Amino acid sequence: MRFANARSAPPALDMGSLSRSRLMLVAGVLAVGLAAIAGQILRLSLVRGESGGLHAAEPVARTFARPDIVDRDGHVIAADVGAPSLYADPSILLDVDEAVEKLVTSLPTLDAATLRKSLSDRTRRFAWIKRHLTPVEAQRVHELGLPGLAFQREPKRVYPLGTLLGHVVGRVDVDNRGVAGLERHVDETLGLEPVIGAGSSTRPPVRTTIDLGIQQALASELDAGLARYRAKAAMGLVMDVETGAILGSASLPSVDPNHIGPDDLDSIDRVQGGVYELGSIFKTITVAMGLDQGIATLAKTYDVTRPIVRDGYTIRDPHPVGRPMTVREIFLRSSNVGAGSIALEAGVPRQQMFLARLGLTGAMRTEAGPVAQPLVPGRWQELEAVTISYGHGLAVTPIQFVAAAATLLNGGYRVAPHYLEQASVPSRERIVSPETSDAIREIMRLNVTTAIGTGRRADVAGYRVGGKTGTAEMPGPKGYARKAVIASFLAAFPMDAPRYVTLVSLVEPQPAEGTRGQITASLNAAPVTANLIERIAPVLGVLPRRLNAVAVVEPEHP
Amino acid sequence: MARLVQLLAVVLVIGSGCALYALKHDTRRIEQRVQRQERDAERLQSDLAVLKSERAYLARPDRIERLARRQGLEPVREHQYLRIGQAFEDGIARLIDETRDDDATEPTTAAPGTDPVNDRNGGR
Repeated sequence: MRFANARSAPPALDMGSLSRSRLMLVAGVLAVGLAAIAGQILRLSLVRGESGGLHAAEPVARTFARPDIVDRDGHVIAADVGAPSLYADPSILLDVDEAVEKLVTSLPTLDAATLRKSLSDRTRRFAWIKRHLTPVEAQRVHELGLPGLAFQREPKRVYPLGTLLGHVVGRVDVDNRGVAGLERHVDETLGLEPVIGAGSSTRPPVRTTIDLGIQQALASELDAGLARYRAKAAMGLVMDVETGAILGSASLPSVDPNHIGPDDLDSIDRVQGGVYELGSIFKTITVAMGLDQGIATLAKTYDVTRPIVRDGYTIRDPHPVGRPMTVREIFLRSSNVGAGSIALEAGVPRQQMFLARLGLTGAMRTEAGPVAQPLVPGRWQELEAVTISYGHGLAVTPIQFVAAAATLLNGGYRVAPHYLEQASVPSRERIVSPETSDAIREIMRLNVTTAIGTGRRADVAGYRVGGKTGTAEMPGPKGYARKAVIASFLAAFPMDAPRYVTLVSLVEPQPAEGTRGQITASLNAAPVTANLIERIAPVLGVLPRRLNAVAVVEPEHP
Repeated sequence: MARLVQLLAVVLVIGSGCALYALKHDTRRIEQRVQRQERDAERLQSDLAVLKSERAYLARPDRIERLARRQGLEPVREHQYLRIGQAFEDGIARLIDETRDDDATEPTTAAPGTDPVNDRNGGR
């Protein structure tokens, strides 16, 4: 239109080239301006929305979305759900005192003083009031009808299994960042995924080696053992002897990662966070050392009639037999003097070397966090060599001990205990000879089958259980206490070709029905292990011996 | 000629204006639909997450164990395993027993005191 006007102008103006060129200039400027406007209109109508800009009302608080954690069959262990979080815009809050009063009434866990302080700052546009409300709480706040309050949906971590894997899975902070256990490992290896709002993670679930069926059997049998023998605590582990994959790991009393209280922060995962002198189950290691170093054979005899005296301490057997014993019998009768004699013959340097090769004196870590450092004696002379040979003087975590036992049982290869499925199978490193491994299998099985063995109560018909008991006196303020013990049972099955190794430990068990006033592992930890293996062997596809000729049927995982 | 060009230009301007408006309107509508679908997808995803957790909560092993035991189920015992061939023979033997007129004798192939259950569903 304007161009038409410009065109129609000249006949009225006939004053020469100067005014004409001015006219052209004006027309040109107008044309450029119009073109710019047209271009802007086009841009706005066609590519609208991209630039958008910040919505003034949207808080710029970040949280993190987490991948699910599942067991080896894909059952959910930890997941994110959206939960409303309450925040305020203090600049448009009408009456701070009224708001604080009403909020504290509706959400009793809030602290009135801190809330008043954060809401009184009128210059702020955003202040969290409470994160992750339950639907009921959110409804109550909604019904208050206070202006200046709003909700934002955020990812909230939930653990549907409650206490079942409490220690292993760890926990997250209020921003959904992993601060302990597997949750922390996930963040450290996979990185953080910041989201605004309740976005869920796009990452695939993190698959663990845990089998929820095994975990439940372990937790419930430990729980039953804890109650029956009135123990203060209990821990247990089920591990694949070949790969070191952990199928179940329980430490009682457990924690619920959904509700971490102040007391729970001190609760340690005894499986890998506590070190213990594990007692006679260590004789398995000592006998293996004797065999593997070429010092002894199972048939070699040692004089165990006289106690060992070193540095003014006397080591004797509680029930001396009064004649020399073979290595086999030392193991079956769990003779301290016998184990000590083997250690003395090996010598301190060899013992230190052997324990180090089995990983019992060094650091270790798993995906659930660092494993507690073993307590190695500062002075390691002959006396310590003797006490360590029967499991006193060297305190290790149960997980480290089970890993060493797995090496002795799987033909002699190193295993690295792990909780997450591994993409590649690490190369096998030989630690002890296959002959040593065979001998350990033989005596562990014998310990359950023969009349003199200490592990008879761990036998389960058909599954060929083998094992070793250990009743370790716990160090107290006045030296070792006779009435406070850790009773442990190390077991493996099926013993002709072990596939799984288990450890059950009861802390300070008390005499109970059927223990004749005793608190030794053969009467408490061993039967708990039997109950455990009877439950898990069928689930793990281990068939009774008489069916061995039939192809092993992999059980269905529901 | 010039008039014709002008007229054409005017028509073009009006026409392109209308086309632009229509296009813009369409775009808006499509955008709204996309947003709605995105919101729906987000809501469904959030529902899915909640349902998944709820399912995991309902299927937590301690609850399943409690319910299974209430139904009289228990872990598989060693004697409950049978070879398929043996189970078959037992079945035949039982059939023969049942068809007999005289008193029913125990199947000879089953060991005394065992309960030959060839059902492994109670494993978990």
